[in-house]
Amino acid sequence: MAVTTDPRLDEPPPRRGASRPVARDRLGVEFDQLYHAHFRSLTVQLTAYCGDLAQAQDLVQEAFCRAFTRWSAVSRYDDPVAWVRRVAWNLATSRWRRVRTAQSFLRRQREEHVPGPSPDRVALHAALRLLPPNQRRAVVLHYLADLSVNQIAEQEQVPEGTVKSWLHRGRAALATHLSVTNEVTDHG
Amino acid sequence: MGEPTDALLGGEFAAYRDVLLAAVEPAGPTAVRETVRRRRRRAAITVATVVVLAIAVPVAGWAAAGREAGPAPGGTTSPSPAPTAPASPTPGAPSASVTPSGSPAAPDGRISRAQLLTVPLDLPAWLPGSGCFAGDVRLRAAVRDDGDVVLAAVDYGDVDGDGATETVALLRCVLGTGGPAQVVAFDRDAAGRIVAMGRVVRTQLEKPQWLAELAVRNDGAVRVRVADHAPGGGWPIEQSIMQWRTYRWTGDGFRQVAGPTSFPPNPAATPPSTPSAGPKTLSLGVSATKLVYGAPNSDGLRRGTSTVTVTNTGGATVQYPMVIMLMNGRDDAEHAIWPAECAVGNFRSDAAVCTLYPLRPGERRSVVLPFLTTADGPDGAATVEVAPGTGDLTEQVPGTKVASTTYPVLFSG
Repeated sequence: MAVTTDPRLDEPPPRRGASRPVARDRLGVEFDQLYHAHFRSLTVQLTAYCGDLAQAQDLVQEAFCRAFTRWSAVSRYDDPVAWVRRVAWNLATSRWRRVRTAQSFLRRQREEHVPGPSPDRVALHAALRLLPPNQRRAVVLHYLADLSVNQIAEQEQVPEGTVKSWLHRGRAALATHLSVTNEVTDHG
Repeated sequence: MGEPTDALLGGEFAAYRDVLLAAVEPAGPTAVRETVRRRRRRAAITVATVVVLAIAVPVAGWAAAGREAGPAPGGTTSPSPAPTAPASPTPGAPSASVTPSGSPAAPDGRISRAQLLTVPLDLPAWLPGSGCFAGDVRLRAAVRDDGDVVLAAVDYGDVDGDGATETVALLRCVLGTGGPAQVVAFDRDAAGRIVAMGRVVRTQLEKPQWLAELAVRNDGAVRVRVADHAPGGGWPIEQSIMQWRTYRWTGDGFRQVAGPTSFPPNPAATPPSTPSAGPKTLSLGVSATKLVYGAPNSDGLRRGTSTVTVTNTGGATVQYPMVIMLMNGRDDAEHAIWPAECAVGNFRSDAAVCTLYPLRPGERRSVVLPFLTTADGPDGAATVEVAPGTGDLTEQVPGTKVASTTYPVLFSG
């Protein structure tokens, strides 16, 4: 039996009912649109979580690669971005898998040559580092991905009460850290 | 949390977003296409290599190549791969010259044990809440780490009746002394890559807790021997009730077609001394090892673990044994890295609660719980409680007692 879950790249998956050239164009355009519309915001979220812009870019790029691999299916989901986001976060939070992303080489180059605007200068960046990972995920998904408690619970596969608890504790801790930072800044 | 905090944080996050948005450098969708194309090419080459040099290829190098060609992710929304309508029967085996070992051609779904162990695979979902990964999983011949997926048994047969052979495997995700299991059918796609057709059967929290063996019949039906209770924790498998159940591919999944569909009550599971009329007692005991904090990490936090052992001291299975770590202002449960034994994590206002998988009477389970602290000392003590839960957040079964123990907390380094 031949299972076709994974069409070859040069033969993009035809959509049912659509002729192939049309489907190919539309699918390709849809993917590009999704990429351009969400790459930056997803990267910001992942940076806030893992603390490293270059690594976050790699993770999001990898997530889009995986989406593209099965784009004929992903594009049919109600919310393809949710799929990409979940994959990127899975990659970021995985304990068992070490992901070698396609961009690791580029990252090294970039680190050497392009300093760029540094998130380290923002107090929030440092304050986020002090949160336990679950609380950090919750506040980042809440404030940067604009997800509801329900959506966060769905992505994290935990009860809503757990998410509320993470958010509550995470916000309190962040507020404390930030007020301390501000005091130091004010007096310094 | 009050609105001022929300407003403060909202502003901070907005500023943070602005700084970062400007710094992000997307590699672009074209780079995505190039990466995927490169990986597919490599995957195709890898498969061809294996067919020709089935014996000579060193497994380590293969594994490295296969990993890079890793298929799709562990996103739980990803649906199981669905087969297309049966195509024309796969052409016969390749010429003997390219398959000196007799291994079949790529489109065939006969996948050797060694090949199954070589590439990362996407599996059907495990029992929800088990904490086992289904995406991008490397099967193991033997367990090395908690959470490893072990290839316990393999059999072959034409399960979908298309004239070619498919592979059926019994997989166990090992968590401590237990963990879920499932029987999965595998096939190859047109590119020769291994894909999961679907799940034949998986273990449940209640029954069956154990899948013992499998066999593919000549007519393509898959027989699986299931047991009501899993062995381990003082429970010998001989006490379990075993049944052969038969499943058949229906075009989009497997369905049971023969054999019993439920288990009779297991006499060994209910304590003989308990009269059936009286209420079965739910009771837990607990012990804990000392918690020793090491030197601060780079994030300024000290970390340590305490091994908490929970014993079912009552006469009935406790479905939701709760390990309740009371907050004391110093020891913070690092729940992000709680072990897989914690099926569910929750918080009360005064405690973090790790809910374990069911414990039978007399059964005992240890769980290593990680803590972190911002304190530098002095040494002290902490308290952990256990209680039977209802399964609803941190609610305790009414009428049951809380057991507790106090353990030393030490600072070293």
